[in-house]
Amino acid sequence: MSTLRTNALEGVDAKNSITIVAGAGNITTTNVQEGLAKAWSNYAGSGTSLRDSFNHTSATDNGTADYTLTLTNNMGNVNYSYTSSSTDGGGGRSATFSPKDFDNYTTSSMRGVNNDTGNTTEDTECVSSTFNGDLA
Amino acid sequence: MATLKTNTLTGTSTAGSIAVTGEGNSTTTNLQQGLTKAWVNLNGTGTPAINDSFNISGLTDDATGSFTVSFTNDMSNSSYSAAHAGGQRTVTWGIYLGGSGGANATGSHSFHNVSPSDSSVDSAFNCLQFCGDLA
Repeated sequence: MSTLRTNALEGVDAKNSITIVAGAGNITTTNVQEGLAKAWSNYAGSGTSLRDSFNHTSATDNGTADYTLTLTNNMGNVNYSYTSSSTDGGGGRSATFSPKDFDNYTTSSMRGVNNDTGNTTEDTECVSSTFNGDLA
Repeated sequence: MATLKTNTLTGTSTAGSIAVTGEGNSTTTNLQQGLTKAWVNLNGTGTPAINDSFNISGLTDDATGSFTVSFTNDMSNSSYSAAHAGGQRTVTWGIYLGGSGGANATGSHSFHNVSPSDSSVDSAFNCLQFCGDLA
């Protein structure tokens, strides 16, 4: 096995673009930067304390089931992909944390609402979120 | 700080496999497996449109609340992971998104929007993230 040691990766032709062989057949390529999640978090819906996260400065509790995730390094535009899931350990019901409003979908934060399968907004025990897209 | 400048990364033992030391400085993970293989942000209302995406070649409006996104480079099998989130402008509840009822396809993914009141809805926000093996 050969090991390459480096602290940082950068494209030559374009700093922000590195191609990587990633197909099961060892032929198809994809793009490293496009494929990297730009932020993720795991937090408690009650009190919104971040248990662990990447590229997030905070999770703010705006009210019951209403949270704002703030990014450390902003996204390049508001067209990023945001996915999440949440679980209520006590009730055993799953829920979805979804964008609350266009106007709260910004390059620096995403405000959403947590709604369970019983059509009830609630603070679930664990909310997980992932951001994909272009960094600023 | 050492910076490696390159346009392409390829594994030596296996072209599609590169190990990276994890945050704990001991365990390794796999760079290719950890990459999101496709993502999309689309508006499902009116004439559905893709706002931004990666490795997505097209969007089909199948029915109210039902859409199919096609991959530019296909997945190698139907067992990939598809994560969703959706929402609607000016309303304070989320919209659940699930599979179309059938198995995932390697060249595309169909999904359906259902409101909390269990009715099919074309929502303004539809975000999907796909992880798994490329073909």
